[in-house]
Amino acid sequence: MMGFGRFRRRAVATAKTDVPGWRRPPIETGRSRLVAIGAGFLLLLTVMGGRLIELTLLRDGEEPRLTTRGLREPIERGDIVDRNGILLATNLKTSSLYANPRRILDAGEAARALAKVFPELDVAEVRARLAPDKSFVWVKRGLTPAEQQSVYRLGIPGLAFQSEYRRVYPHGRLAAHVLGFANVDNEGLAGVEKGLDGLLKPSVRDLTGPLTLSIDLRVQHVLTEELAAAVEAFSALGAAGLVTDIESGEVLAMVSLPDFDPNRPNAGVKDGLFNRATLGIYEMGSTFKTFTLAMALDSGAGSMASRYDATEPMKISRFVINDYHAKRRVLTMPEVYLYSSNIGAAKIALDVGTRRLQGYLRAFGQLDPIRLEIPEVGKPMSPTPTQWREINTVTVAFGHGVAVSPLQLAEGVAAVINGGVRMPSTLVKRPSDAPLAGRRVISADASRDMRYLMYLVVAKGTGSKAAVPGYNVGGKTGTAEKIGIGGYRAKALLSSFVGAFPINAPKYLVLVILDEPHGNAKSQGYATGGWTAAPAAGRVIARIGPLLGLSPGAPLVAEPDRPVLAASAAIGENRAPR
Amino acid sequence: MKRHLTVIGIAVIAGLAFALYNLKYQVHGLEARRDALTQAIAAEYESVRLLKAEWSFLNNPKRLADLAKRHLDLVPLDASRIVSLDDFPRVSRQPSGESSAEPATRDAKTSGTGTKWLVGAHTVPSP
Repeated sequence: MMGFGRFRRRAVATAKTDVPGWRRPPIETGRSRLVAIGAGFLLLLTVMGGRLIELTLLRDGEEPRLTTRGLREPIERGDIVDRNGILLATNLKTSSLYANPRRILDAGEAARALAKVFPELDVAEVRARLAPDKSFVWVKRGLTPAEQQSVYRLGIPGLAFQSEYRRVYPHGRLAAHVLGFANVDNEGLAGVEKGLDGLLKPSVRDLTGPLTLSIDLRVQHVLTEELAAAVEAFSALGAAGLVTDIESGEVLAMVSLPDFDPNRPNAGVKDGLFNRATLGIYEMGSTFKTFTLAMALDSGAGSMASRYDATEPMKISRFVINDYHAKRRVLTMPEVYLYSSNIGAAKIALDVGTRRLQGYLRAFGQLDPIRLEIPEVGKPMSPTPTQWREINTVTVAFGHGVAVSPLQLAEGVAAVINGGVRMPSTLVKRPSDAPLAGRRVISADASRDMRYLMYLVVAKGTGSKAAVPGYNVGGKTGTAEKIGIGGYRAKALLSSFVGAFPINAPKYLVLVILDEPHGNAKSQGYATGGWTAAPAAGRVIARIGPLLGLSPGAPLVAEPDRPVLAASAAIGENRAPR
Repeated sequence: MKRHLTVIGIAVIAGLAFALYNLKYQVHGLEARRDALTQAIAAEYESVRLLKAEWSFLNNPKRLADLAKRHLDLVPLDASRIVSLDDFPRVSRQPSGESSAEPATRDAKTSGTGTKWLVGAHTVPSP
């Protein structure tokens, strides 16, 4: 067919082209246009065919991506788990009730009916909210399925539900101050929820899984229970407690009583939201002597053999320093610590000197706010360098005149006994392969001596109630009078115990602080740290020791003249697998 | 010849059109199924989240302690119940009939073969 056409055309062409006045017949024009259009279509089809081949044969298909798209709804806020992976905070879908007031027939009736389902709603207030000419108002958010069913049953037109994610804390009060809480719009308002809000945002969390805290929920539970028991037994105002990993600075448990339920943060007692463990700052009393002796031993201002005359109360300007457990004789350095002599500690501090004492306290982290992942961090109180007089040096030696938060004290004491390296505290689990970066604050030798002294306090001194069979506990008690109007209040005490175990190669630090405990029959009427906080700390250690996988050690032999504790167990050497 | 081609062409086009129509409806069906599955999976994810929260809630240490107290004869482990191999008397491993009658000896032998059940809870070597 084509052949004919071509032949014919050529034949016609040779015959007629050179004839003047000849015009191409329309059929010719049409044919060449047809060819052009055909060529165009051919080109397009070739492109399409090529594209088809490319999509089907040459490229990886998009199907795998398409099939998973839309499977997971975007998580509004990341989960939080404890160090063993137990869920502490998550988001659950709940329904929230809203109303379209334009469609509500009788606002008063609707409000009364709703108040029957939600007794906490105020009828007048709901009615006012339902009255105006709007098309959307929230009535109540975060309903339980049962509540939702009851609202359905009311059959009021104009009420509808919208499903929302709501932050849920399965363990309620446990670790409430660590977690903090988030509001209905999933914004963190306190604790880790606020401090690490950025990390919990969905875009970040989708990639890295849940946020793992350093908290061990079992330890948290034990500490909470023992503190609550102590608060009850000594009718204290409140309590704060900490268990920290001495080598890594991780906080295993942090308790502040009274506490709150993060699922209902505003429902409990007003004081419950206050975090005594990090935000509260207190004059710690005798536990501070740990720092005084550590700086004396490290700087060489004193040695284990140094003697201090504590026969007479000490007079500094218009103040008189007295001993609570007065011995009225010359005390050795270990005895100053053992009997918690204020006079001895004051003299040691004067030997160290104000300038050096300030430097050491700063190195121990007692003069600046600590850095932690939660916003509730208290700013310590101390005299400014220009206000600092000799009397301040003397009182700071036994823990008055400088107020710090319990966590701050724990971090400093951990540095004193762990070989002399201050590890920054953290509430987030450290990866086991992460290098430990601390700053040396005292020598390993001074640290070893301090461990020995702390062991003596529990073996023979004021901390004997913290002794636990099977675990060698070392520690220091403290009893401070709280400041009231016009001076210190003798009856309002802050009793504390800071301890570590096993003290020859410390792994964990336990700090117990009771706010205004009152003596009972069991404590023979005493409300001091040795009688109230130390037994609680001992019970905590007895319970968490096996939990944390620490094998009991044989009792250490205490000899005042020759320290028997393990030689400089520096950081890293006694790092155990966890 | 020309007519045949036309007929065949029309038949092919009709066939293709039908096949396309069919395919399109199949895809519609598959898409509907996919959407249903996607929703089901999303719902399943949601229940998994809920169950995880529930599981965590049920594992509350306080609740477990209470349940254990009411239903079990177990007590919390204390330090006196943890012993290490060094606490056992060392005996010679001669196969003599008399010595194996002593209970302490038997324990030591079990441990000697490498049985670690006694120290199962340990993760840290004794200091």
